[in-house]
Amino acid sequence: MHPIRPGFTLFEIAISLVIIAIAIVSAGLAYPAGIKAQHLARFQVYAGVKMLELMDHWSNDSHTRWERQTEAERIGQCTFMRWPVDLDRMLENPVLGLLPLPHALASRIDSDDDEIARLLAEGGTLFFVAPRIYEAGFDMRVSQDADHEHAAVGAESAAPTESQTLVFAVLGYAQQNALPNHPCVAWPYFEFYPAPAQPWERDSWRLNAWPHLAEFESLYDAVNGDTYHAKHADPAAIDDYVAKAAALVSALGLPMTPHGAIGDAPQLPADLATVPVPWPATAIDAYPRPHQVLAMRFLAHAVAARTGSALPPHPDAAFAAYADACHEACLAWAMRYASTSPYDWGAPRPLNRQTCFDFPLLEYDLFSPPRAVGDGTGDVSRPIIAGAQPTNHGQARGVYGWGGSIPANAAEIASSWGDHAHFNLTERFAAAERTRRLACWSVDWRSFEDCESVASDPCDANMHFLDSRGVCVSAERSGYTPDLKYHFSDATRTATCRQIDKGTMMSGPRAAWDTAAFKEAYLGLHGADRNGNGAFDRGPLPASSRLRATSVAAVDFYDRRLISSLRN
Amino acid sequence: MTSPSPRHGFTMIEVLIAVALGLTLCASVAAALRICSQSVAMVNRLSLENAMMRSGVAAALHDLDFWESYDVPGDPTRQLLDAPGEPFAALTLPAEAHLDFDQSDGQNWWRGLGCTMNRAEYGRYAAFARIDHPLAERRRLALLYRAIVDTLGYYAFCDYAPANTIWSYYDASGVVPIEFIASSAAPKNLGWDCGDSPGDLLMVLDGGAFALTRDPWYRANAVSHRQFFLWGATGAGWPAEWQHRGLHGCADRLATMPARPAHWPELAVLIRHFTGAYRQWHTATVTVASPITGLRQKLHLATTSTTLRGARRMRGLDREPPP
Repeated sequence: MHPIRPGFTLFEIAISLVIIAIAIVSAGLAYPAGIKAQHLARFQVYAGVKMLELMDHWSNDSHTRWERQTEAERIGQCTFMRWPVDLDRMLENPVLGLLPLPHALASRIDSDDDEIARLLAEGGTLFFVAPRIYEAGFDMRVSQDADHEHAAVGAESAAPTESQTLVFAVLGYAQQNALPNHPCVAWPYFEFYPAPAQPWERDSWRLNAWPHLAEFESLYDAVNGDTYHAKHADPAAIDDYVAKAAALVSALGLPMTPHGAIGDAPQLPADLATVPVPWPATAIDAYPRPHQVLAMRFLAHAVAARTGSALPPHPDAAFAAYADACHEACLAWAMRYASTSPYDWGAPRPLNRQTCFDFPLLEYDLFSPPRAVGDGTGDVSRPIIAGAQPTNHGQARGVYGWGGSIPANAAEIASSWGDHAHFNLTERFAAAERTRRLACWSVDWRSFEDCESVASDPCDANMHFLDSRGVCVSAERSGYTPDLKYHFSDATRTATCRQIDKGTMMSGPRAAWDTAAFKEAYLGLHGADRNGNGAFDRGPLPASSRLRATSVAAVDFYDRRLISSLRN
Repeated sequence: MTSPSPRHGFTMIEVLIAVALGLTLCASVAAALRICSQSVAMVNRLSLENAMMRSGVAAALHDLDFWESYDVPGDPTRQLLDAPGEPFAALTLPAEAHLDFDQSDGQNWWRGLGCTMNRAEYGRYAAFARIDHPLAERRRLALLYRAIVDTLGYYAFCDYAPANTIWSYYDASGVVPIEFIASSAAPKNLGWDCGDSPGDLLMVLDGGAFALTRDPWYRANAVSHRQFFLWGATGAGWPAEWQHRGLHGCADRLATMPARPAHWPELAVLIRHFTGAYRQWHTATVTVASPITGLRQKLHLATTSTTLRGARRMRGLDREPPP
């Protein structure tokens, strides 16, 4: 009898099939993981390239200050004080290719260790890749300008669509930065040496009660920066100019060298190696006074003007040597003054000798109480502190909007100082104090249904071209919200915002700036075309859902406190 | 006698179930294989594109740093910009003209009339400094400017001169050379944006830009001695094609993987060195194009790379006079 060879039961076969199916599905699931890994690898390339670019722009900032307010009547009124030194502040400039992701969207994104949530809770911002980026550089002034953008140095091109899922943030606390200049006087002012006296130099002479004002006034009345051109071909006027400049220099008691019948020329300053150390504050050779430097500048200009081809030659053949001596003394004393007296703001720095080291170090005094600006806006400001008490500062020389010159503000500057003992820009620091992290994640925030309808976030008031009083203090094309050109222009969301005045500040105030429609569009209250496709889009995910961001890359960098540049 | 046990066959229902299960299994396996195959293909494609992208970025960074697409040390056939007037020409400085811009040294002070119009009717400032001044320290800057501009071109001058350089000097006749002032007789020259007053780098680059390229067309049109206008390359004095191609035409293509298989993505790397918008730029565009889908992935990067002066010093091209 043959034994019965039982076959598999149907149940056994079913179990087998389930096992096989599980094996196949498991194998199948492994492949998407591979795809995900490759996507992550691509994102890392994107992120690495973008980080390199950001660091390049950050460390080689052009520092152009065209069409920006740089000084104001009172502290707390100058919008230039936000000039970006911190990377995250600089990222608010759209030319760097990132735009701020509204907090309403960013707050729905989870991340490892809640880094994004903590960033937002501490006031930080998440940035996404702009839909269009500059291919080869940019000019900050015309980046918003539709008429220029396609002919500009770096015409825009579309960023890879998938790169828009990358979001960036700067983690870690920013240092308190140096101020670009005093908010009430944009020092350093520059002037070519030699040059005639300028109106604001007369103001400084009077304000600081420098000696021999009468001789200076006489010189100023003879020739100054406003009248020189009209008098340059008049021999009598220029001879009078020379005589009065020589009289001023002589009256100031500077060491002189006789030049025959022509007159005396200032001697060069002594070699600093011959001045006893420490240099006494009264040592003129170490610390020349600003009025002395100015006087020698006027004399050098007057004498050089006398050599002009519009005038008959000077009767004394030795006049050329005299002019040369005055010119060399003018340069030498000005260079000495600029080198040794960074906190003396009486005489302008020589334009023919600009150095990055001739910027006084200033910062807000965060440890003294804020002061009311007192202009009716309710604004306040911290006082200003410096490495040493600035002297001979004079007053602002700029204009305020279209309202004419900034009112005399020497008293405001004099009362702006805090406790200089709090100054810490030059203190030693630990590396950890200056380390911040640039981090990148991947998350498709465009999946949210309201990814383009959410209003743009408010941004620093100092970014705008209008100040707290509604006065246009910078050109519209230089001060604007970061994603302005992607803002929908109205509730229909069929068109994006265009600037009204794309030119300079020469056109005067625009009535449209004060309309509700302009303000809504300018501030992005109707949302923004954040993927740059020219249409209003909605994602599939409800606003109540959350997304998880995948960490892509992170780099640590040195957080500088001073405005600087590796190369320009 | 016992009869042999009957040999049961499958019932019809068993066969049907078995066939159904078998078909299901086959279908599942086929689907899984298809998905796996597609996944593998996608992973391979992504991997290849990523590798191409990485190699393109690496090639761009390398070339931006070492400038080898312009000049390969030791290989005269690949020294493309070494003719006189071009950026990699050998520079022998006059005895007075050290590449030293220390502002505490009086020989580096610019001496001229800057406040209004730089003309002799307002003063003979050329008596204080000019290219043939009897005193060496008073002719130094002029000789240095002239040597760099003549030998290496405008981009090199931007690169070598500190940002505070005043772009002007007096020639032997006591006037500022036309090359350093705005003039319809020499459009798009070095001082085109300065008017007839001397300017610094910021002023010169207010709308202007200087670039170098190995593009034959640009070189034939003396790109090393021309200035671009950033906000639209239009105006008198521009070659027609120059207006069309503008600064973007100055991008140089790197030779990347010429022997790649035809089905591989195409990699293109463009690099640019230019000075404009008040700063130096070293940028690249890396493009990976799929021959299958036609999709183009374009990356832009800018980096703080070696300057032209640094690249030239690597090659020992600057021969300074003994101190």
